Amino acid sequence: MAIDEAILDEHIEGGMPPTLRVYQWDPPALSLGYNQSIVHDVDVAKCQEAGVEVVRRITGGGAVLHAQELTYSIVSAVNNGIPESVAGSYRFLSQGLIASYKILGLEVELKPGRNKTRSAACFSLTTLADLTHRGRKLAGSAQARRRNALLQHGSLPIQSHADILFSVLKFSSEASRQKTRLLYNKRMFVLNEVIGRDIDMQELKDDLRKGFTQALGIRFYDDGLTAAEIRRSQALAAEKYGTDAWNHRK
Amino acid sequence: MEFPEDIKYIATHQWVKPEGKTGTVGITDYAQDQLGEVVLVELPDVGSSVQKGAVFGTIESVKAVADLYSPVDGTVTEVNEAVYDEPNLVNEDPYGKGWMLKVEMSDPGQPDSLLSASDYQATLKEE
Repeated sequence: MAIDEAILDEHIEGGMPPTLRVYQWDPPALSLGYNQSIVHDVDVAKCQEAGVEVVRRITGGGAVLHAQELTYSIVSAVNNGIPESVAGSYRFLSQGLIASYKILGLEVELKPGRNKTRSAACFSLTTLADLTHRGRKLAGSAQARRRNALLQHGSLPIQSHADILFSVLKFSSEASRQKTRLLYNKRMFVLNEVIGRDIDMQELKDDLRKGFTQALGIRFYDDGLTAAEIRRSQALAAEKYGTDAWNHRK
Repeated sequence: MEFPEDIKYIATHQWVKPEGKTGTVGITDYAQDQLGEVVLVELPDVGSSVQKGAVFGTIESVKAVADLYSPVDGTVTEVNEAVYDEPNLVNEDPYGKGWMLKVEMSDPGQPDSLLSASDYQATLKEE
């Protein structure tokens, strides 16, 4: 999370090009939306028991469990063809994901509707920013806007992690936990389930690269983090993402 | 889309309405339209200082969190708590009931240097 914010700030202030980053988490982590209440939604003791770290994002939305999934982040100014409106920018960037899934033989679409209800678990709801396959959510995203730039976070679930997710989130009652979990199972898909095999992570990363290249007409240059991005991310990790003041701010 | 003539704008889509030393601050009709349905607004405490071009709060719409930038320097004298309870006031009435801050401006002349309604609209056409 610190690295993504560092990439965003270096794009805004340091003139770095737009960036697509893909990564996984070790140990697994539960990321919370910028305004989500950790007190209300998360059983912190259960997270510790399960070896799951908790971190708050600067992007909106609900909790996402980063386990058995691929996380992506996109940083770009809202120009170069990216519409400024939130809905428009999701539509634009989702073309890359749609093309990536197509390479895997999957028809996915951007869910056009909106859902106003807030839920602790991001994946139990589909909103305007989510990709669905046969009506079930296959990928979720959230954005932050700073100056004229956007950071879009997304999660592409590979295998089900509902056992852990529903053990670390808080619900008003056991019945509510069960009900939400049933809805979650009905409304979402994980990639391995849909393609009927265990996808290789490198294959998925390569498909994302191809999909974004084809759909958005862009060319990627492979690069690691710059020295400035590393410095910023280390400072952000120490002063923000590693602190209770940030992670427990709500 | 409306852009009243009696207020001043900045390119990051905030407006200020000067009345003597006090400036009322909010976001533009264009900004609320681009964000979509607002679900949460986070504003500074009364007494805190704001600076022109610096972040004073955040706004979350369905699926995006955006920073809010102050059009003027000054001290916050009032925040619109109604938008905490009803964030969609920002969508429904961005220049009226959806206002965000009242600021005692360090320099009441500062809004004169900001964008007029037509200047601001011109920046939108470029985007």
